[in-house]
Amino acid sequence: MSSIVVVDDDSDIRGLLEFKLSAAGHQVTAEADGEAGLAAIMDVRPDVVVLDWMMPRMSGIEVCLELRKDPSMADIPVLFLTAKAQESDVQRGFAAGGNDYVIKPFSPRELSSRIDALLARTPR
Amino acid sequence: MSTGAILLIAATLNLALIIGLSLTTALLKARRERRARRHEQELALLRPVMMRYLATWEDGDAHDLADMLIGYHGVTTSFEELVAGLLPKLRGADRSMLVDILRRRGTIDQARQGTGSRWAVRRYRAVELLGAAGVSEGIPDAAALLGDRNTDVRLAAVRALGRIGTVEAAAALLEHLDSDEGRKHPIPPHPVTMALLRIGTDATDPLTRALEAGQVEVRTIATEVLGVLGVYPAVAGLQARMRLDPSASVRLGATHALGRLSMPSSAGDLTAMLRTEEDVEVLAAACAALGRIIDPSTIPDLEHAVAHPHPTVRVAAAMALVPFGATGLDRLREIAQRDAEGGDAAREVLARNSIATDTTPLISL
Repeated sequence: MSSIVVVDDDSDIRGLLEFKLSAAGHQVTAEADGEAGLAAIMDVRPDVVVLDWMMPRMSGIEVCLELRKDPSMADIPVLFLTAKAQESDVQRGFAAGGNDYVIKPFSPRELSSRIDALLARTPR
Repeated sequence: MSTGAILLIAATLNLALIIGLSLTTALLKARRERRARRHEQELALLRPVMMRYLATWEDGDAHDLADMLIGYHGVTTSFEELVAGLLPKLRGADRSMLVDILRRRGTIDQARQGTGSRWAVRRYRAVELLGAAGVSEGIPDAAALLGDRNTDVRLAAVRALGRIGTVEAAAALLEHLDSDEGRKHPIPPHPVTMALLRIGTDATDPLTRALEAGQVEVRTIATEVLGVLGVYPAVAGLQARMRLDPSASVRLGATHALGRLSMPSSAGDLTAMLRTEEDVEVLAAACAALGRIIDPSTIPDLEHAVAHPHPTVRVAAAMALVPFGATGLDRLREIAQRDAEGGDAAREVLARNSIATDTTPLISL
């Protein structure tokens, strides 16, 4: 069982991912804004983080940059789940330290597979 | 009856009226609040069931949940509200499965009927749902609303056709715009362009046909969208529009499109335009298109355009010489030495690109 923190201000997406990833056997913590998400990540030290980009109080990019600054958090895989679909956005997501990038609207099944792939290539 | 008695009766009636109105308002407010609370409770019950089903629908055990969702008929429209909120966020099999549930609940049929409602708000909601669900059987219903008397409904129908997609949706949009009905109830071009772009290359055939449309706006939209979508087989049609169309906005759209497509076969038509066209914007667009095609045989025509009387054309022609590399820059430097005939435009473009205006080689070996 892996622990996953989902940070997204959309309650439908949070709810859906909580159910989907829990059904796949993961332990999920969901938060609705960047600041609360960062606090949850510090607290849980999850195996994977799913981050929205545009959120109140702190954007996903800022959360990711904060994580990469902290040596104890720098290796946590981050998957961006966002509506920002331009080529330059994807580039910025990876440049900020993201490990994968999924564009909304999304397929929950595909997202679950991408998370499994991230977990499989992360040494634990 | 004395005046005092009359006044007393009037005051009593007034008071009774005020009390009556206050009571009615309070009752209505209480009923509205009760209904909103019940709606929230329904949503709170339904949301986890829906989420659980979305998370587990591939399992055989999820059948019961599906039956429950299909058979659920609350007093309000919580289910449809929930699904309408989820549909734009999902794609792939999960989205198709939600649409399937809507279909089996009869929601799609109801929405199709709703497009014929006498109430504009119902027609609006119905066509929005058909668009969100992206169901092709909704195309004729959405198309019928393109001529609706209500502007918001017409715009919702345009968006819905864009979301549903397919060649039929694109054809319906363009044919309506070019019809008498379309002239009577006009639709702004921007939402139509966005809808056609969303439909994508499926719209190619109707767009190519629309190059010959009667309405200037339709021909303009067709040229612009064909260029953005990169429809190379449309080059001949676009060249014809650029050469022959009586409307400057169509010629401009066609020139933009040919620039985007950057086919070398367009160079001849574009240079011919530089000699005959009178519209400044079209001329500037033709220069920009030649700067994308980068055919060396067009350099003399661009040099000539740098000396055009209008500054917009002069600068566009000078900018078009930059992508030609050393040859283009040498020509620009030569022009920059002049006091008139485009010297100002050449100097501006060289400065904008931080390029020295003298002819000294940039790198000395």
